[in-house]
Amino acid sequence: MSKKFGLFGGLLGLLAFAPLVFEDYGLGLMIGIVSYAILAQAWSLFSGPTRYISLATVAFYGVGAYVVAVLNEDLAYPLILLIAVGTGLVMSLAVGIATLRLAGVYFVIFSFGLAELVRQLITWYEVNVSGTLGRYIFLPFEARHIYWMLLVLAGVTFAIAWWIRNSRTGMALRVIGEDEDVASHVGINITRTKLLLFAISASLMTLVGAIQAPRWVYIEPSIVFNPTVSFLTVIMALLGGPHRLLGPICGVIPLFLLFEWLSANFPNHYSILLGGVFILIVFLLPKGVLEFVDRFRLGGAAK
Amino acid sequence: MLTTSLVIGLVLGGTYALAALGLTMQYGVSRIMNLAYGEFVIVAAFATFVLVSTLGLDPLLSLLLVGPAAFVISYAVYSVLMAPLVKRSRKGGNLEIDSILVTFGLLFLIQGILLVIFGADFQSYSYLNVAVDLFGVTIAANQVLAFGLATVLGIGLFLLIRFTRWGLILRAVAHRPDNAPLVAINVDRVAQLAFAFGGMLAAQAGVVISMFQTFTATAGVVFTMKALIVVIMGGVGNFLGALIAGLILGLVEAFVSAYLDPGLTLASTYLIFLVLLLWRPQGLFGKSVS
Amino acid sequence: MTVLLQTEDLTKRFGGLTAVRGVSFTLSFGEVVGLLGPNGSGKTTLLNMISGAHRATSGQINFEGHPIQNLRPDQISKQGIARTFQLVKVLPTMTVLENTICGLAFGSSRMWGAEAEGKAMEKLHQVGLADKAKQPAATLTYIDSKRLELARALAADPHLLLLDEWLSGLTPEELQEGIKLIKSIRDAGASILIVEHIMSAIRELCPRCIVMNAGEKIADGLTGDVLQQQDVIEAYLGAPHHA
Repeated sequence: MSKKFGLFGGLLGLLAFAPLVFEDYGLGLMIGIVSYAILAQAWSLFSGPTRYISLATVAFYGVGAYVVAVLNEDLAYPLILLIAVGTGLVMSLAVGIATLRLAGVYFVIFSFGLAELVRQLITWYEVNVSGTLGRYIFLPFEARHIYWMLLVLAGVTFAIAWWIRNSRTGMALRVIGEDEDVASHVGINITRTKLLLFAISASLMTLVGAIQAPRWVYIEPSIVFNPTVSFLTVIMALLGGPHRLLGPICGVIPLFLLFEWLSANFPNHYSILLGGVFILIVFLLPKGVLEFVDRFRLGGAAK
Repeated sequence: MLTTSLVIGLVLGGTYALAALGLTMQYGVSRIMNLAYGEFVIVAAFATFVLVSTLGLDPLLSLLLVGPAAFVISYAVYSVLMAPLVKRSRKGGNLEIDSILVTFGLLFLIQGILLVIFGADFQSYSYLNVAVDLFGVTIAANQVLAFGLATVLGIGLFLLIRFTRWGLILRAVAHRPDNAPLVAINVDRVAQLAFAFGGMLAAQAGVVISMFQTFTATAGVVFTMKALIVVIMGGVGNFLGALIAGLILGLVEAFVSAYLDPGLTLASTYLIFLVLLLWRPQGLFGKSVS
Repeated sequence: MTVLLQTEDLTKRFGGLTAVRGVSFTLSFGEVVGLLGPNGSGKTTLLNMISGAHRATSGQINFEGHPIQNLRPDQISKQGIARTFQLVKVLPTMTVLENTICGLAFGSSRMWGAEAEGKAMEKLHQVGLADKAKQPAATLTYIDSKRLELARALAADPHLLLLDEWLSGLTPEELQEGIKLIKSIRDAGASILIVEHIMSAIRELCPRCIVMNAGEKIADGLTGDVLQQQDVIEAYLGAPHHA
């Protein structure tokens, strides 16, 4: 086990040197990959075992970015990050309490529209109350600083994922995913467990947005609440296998590079290709996404 | 102002109800959670826009063209995208999750196509844009017509479901999909027809909406959301419930936009949804589930 | 004898249907009680109220002196009540060992790690599944799934065990094995409420039994006496026809 830890730490350490090797474009790609690795991992943390498909990634991500945009000139940076996480946490608890007691489809629907709701609310607030729709971010960070912060967050995220997998909570989540009747009768508080995981997952997503925010310099709601972020996160996690610790990252690297290439070469048809690839992935996983997930969970032991 | 809001609310509510009827058909009967539903609404609006502005066609005629076309297209979409999912769901796949994911992809696909053809700007055409006096309220004639159409189509559908043999079959599949084959109902076929029919209703709602509202290529998500909320409010598979819930939602939006702020209409919709989920998750008119 | 479980005037309605009507009974510490009755007589509903799966419409359930009728299943499990399900519920993609650990990790015992594994293996030995510990539960035969459910329920050493038709659907040989297994649990001093159809099993396992019909308790006493009672026989075989 300690060997694995050493390998993991060594890999992170090695990745930390990337800014010395890559030029701006390469480092931009690395930032994208690490961001999506965190998002996909955070998504899998909750949606993998519970099978509640969350389409709300960008709602939290965007809120994180916006908190930074609003507060960047007034408060110390660490405090801003803290407030960002707090906002994401409160939002996830409100959504979770309303929907997680119910069948998964209610959660999906709610998460589906959440980003649009938050975007419209912020737009309304900015137009009517604060009077400025766009905001500038003046923080003394270069690309490499953002990259390093994301790398640390990635390390934390993977550590959390590893810890949860091996903990009682991880087992509780798996039992809930398999059979809620059994889960409650062996003593698992189902709603509390789901809520906890959803909140952790959402807080991590919020942080990614907050850390990435200075990259934009100028922010407005339509930029940070881009629905393709939610969309990409879901496909990357699904393709890689949300149940395996390293699954999400396996999905992130090829798909991120593919979509990067698509958006560079077919900027006008990007959305069409995105949709097409997504549909293809769902169909290629032969017996349905969940069956695919389960087959791997059973591993070699299956008949 | 009060009567104005009331009338506008009914106009909006009528179209929401119409849109929601199609979705409840697709989700309640076919068991497909179609996240691209709003895109069908928007595509129909753009199709009407094209027919009106290039061929000079009357939007009412367009309704007769776009509706059946949407039926055929939805039928085909079901054959190509949904039928394989339904088939594999029998071998342990999960139809609900698979259909959510595939239609999520479809949403981006359709949106992308619309963006390429029409760009991201608001579109509209002028049709019957004359003021008429209705119960002392001055209102555009196109809105009156829209409400009339939504009512006629909605009531027509309601009668169809309530009193025809086909309606009985639909209700049977909606309530007891497992038992329907026992009375010789071909569930797969009914599901496909219901999906196509739902697509047709979406398109009709889109045509009606295009008569009095502006629309953009990216507006589909909001329509899907509103239709979903109406369906859940009314109780899944409950056609009358969807009708009433649609009207309620339209009225709430009209009043919020008149008395609070037009920018808060979606928020108010969501608030209703949240309260409903906490208070009566089975829907206003659904039966209680224990 | 100390009272372990006591229900008072317990009633459950589903819409217009009254599934259980005013049932009162007690179960003492260390006692094994059979609960029988024809299909639809309300046995499983009664069990579901005790385990928290259904909330009672009215009436009281006291367990070890505390009211539990308003608790959720997870809270009741923490009080020390464990159950099996009428339709076997094992967790197919988890291993047999993991399935058993589920019974230990969250309820009254909250064990984890090596300690939980050891205890789980002990229970698997008890039900005869130790050699299949590493298999996914999906690969088990029907009787083995039932054994696994029993191991999971027993894992936390529950103060009260609820068995919902655990013996049904077994072949005659398996039935004999099953009866032997439950006997061994009983003889170790467990308190058990057994819902069952199979008369012979009830006769062998339960000194006392309760009979339900149409939602009401119609008999409660020593098994031998109860099964002789006229109304019990009628409930099972139908009222005699008078020509």
